Parts: sequence; structure tokens; C-alpha cells
Amino acid sequence: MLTIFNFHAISEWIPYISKGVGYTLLIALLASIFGVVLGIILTLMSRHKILKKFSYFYIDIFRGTPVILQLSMVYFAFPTLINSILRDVFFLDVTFMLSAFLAAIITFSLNSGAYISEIIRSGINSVDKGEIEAARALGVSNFHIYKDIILPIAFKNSFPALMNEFITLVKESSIVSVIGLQDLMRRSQIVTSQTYMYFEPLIIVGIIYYVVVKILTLLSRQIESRLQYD
Amino acid sequence: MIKVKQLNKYFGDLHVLKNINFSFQEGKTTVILGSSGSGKSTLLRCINMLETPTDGSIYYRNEIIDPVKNIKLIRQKIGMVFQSFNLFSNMTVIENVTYALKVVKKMPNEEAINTALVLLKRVGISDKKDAYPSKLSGGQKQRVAIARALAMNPEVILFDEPTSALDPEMVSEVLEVMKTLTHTGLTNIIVSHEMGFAKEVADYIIYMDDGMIIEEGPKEDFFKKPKTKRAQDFLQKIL
Repeated sequence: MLTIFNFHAISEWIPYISKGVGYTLLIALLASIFGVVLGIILTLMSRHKILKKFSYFYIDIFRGTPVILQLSMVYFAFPTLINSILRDVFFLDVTFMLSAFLAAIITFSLNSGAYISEIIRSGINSVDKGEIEAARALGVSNFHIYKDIILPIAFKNSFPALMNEFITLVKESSIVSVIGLQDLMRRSQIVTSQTYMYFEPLIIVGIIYYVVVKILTLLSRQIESRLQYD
Repeated sequence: MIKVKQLNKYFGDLHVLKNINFSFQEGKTTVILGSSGSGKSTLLRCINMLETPTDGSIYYRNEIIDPVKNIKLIRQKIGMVFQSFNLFSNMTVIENVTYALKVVKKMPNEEAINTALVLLKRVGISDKKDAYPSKLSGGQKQRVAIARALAMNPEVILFDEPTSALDPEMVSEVLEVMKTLTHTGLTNIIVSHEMGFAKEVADYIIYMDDGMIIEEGPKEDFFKKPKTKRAQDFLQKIL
């Protein structure tokens, strides 16, 4: 008899696979928090005469190369480079190590910072110039214009795009399996190597991703409708 | 009260204000007329430095208006009402009116709200005080904008084509409110296309064309016997 989906065989592995969702969500969450901080810094830099060149360069590089390359750089190449500098330049006998988890957080923060900076920038540009003028005409200071008018409106306008970036992070973080971090994707590979089942673990992981993304999407719509000023 | 001296403004190579000299009288209503592109809005926006003059100076009660040094204080005394209303979209009607009172004048919340309620009543829109601007009609938005300007208790209000973005049936509700502001001691400077309104409320008329003041004078003189050919042509086209 042809068995397409052997539920009995996979069911005992489901709890093991599900534990990977913690890594996936934690990476996405931390990376988007650091990404927002970095994004704000990059946006502020892009308003400075000299620093804006750095900001553009940074964004260009991180948007122009694949995440898997950035991750490999941070996890494999970067510690090796540090170690040779420590050994050959400073003659130190110490070894610099980066855990897979830390490397993942760093990479995704650096990467999403570039994207989030673009989101924030377009959010700020979307604020009606007339409203800013009206505030200036009332004698309101630039600090208050930013704090009370530009940033709240920019945040509301860019919230859908920010949430979209978070959902992208949830899915793209599956790449961390290449550096051995036991996220959802990596766990499905481990199950495959133990049981020779390909289809079942992937389906389970697929369902988990889909449900997580669905919940996040619905949640973001809820918040979005609450952010409307009407 | 406001004296404009040798004012020139360029946008790139475009010379939009050409050597403007004029004194706005205290407590009077001056209407600036002219076809589109004549520089009348730019002149108005130079008064509160939303546009920085390229050359020349503007005095407020004999004090030169400086875009850095004293502009914040002077802007508190010069209110402005815009063509496109420019209400703060993230604030309710009452927040729009109280905002500058609180952050600029540092007025306590309760006092600011009381001030705002009086003004919203005056412009006939108290029932909408908790609505966001997106829920208001154009005429209602502009009345809120007038209340917001009045809240700062200004000595001058600049009106930049306040009825041009309105549907025809809403023009009169805004003009009615503006009418109540004349002869109250407030100095009104109005850029407008509403000729009938200008005829009714203006004390003084400035007619501009091609970045220059072509003709100025008391309303009666301007409408009855304009001196220049260009003003005569303009009136003939409009009336």
C-alpha cells in the first residue's frame, strides 16, 4: 500500500521539531529590535552631509548580497580573520569564538537594519509637508515637530512594512540551519537523517511556518486598524 | 505693523518677488489679489519665514524678522491658515487646537482645553471636538484650522487662499467665520480669489502681477477706479 504521509512514524518527532520555533521567533524578534535601532541610526546618518555616504554604502552592500553570504562571513570568515590578527599582529594565544546563535542574531540585525532604514526613511517622507509647515507656523520647535508629528505619523505609515519585514525575518531565518543552529529547518533535516523520511518532516515544518506567519499577519492587521486616526 | 522692505525672492533662477515694499496696517484687513503665479502666496509665506527671502527685510513692530533669532516668538504672534488646511492628522480636533498652546506656550492642559472649547464654539464646530481630521469636511477642517490659529491669541493672521480647496457649498461657512475676525483689532492678511468677499471685508487691496505690486490702495479706490491698465484688465476678467 502506498503511504504518502506516514503520520504514525512522524508523530513522535513532532515535539522535537516544534522546539525549533523558539529559535526562529527569537532570532526574528531580536534581529528586528536591533534592526530598528540600527535602521534609525542609518536614517539619521543619511541626513548628515558626510555620514550619509557611509549610510548609503552600508545599505547598498547589505541589500546587494545574499543573507547566506553575510551569515557565512560573520560565522566562518570573521572569527578566522580576528584570530589571525590576534595571533600574527598581537602575538596573542587566544581564540575568538562566535556561537551560531550570536552569529545569527548579528547577521540578521545588520541585514534587517539596512531594510528597516529604507522603511523608516520612506515613512518620514510620507508625512505631509503641510502639517510640518503648520507646526512651524505656530512656533513649534523642531524637536517637538519630530516627536509629536513626524515620528508618530511615520510609524503609523510604515507599520505594515515593518511588520512585513518581521515576517520576512521569520521565514528567512531558516537559513541559520547552514551554521548548525537547531531551528525548525535544521530539525527537519536531523529527523530526515534519523528516519529517512523526507516528506513528513518538511510538511510538519511547513505547517508550523505557515501557522506562525498567519498568526503574525492577522495580528499585524489588528494593530494596523487600531493605528488609524479616525 | 508689518513692514516689507526691498523684498526679493528667487526660486533658482526664477525671480518670484521683485523689490516688494509695503506696510500692513494694524487692525486692518488687507486682501492680496492677483492671478496664479503672481507671487502673492510667496509674499505671504515670507512674512512668517516659511520662505526665506533672498534679499530685503521684513519688520514686525519695527523689529526685523530673523529666520533664526526671533522667528519662534514672532510666529506665535502671527497665525496662519493654509489652503490645504494642514491639520495634524494624528490628533483630534481639540488636540489640534490645544497642541501649540501646550508645547509652545506651556499652558496647563485644563486651561488649554477651555481655551480651545471657546474657540471651537466660536467657529461652530464644538460637536466635532473628538473627531480626527479625516472625518471632517473641507469647510469643517478649515474652521478648525482657524480656531487653531486663533488659540495662540495672535496679533496677525495670514490666510493663504483659505477657500480655494473647498467645494463651492462650503466656501461661505469659512468666509462667514473669517468675516467675524475683521474689525476686532486683529490684523488680517488674506490671499484670496473670492472677489465678492474681498469687496466686502477688505480695508486695503494689493494687486500683484509677475512678482510685483502693481497697485495698492483702499478697497473703494481699487474696485471703483483702478489706476493701472493691468488691474483694470484683471477686474474685468474676474467680475
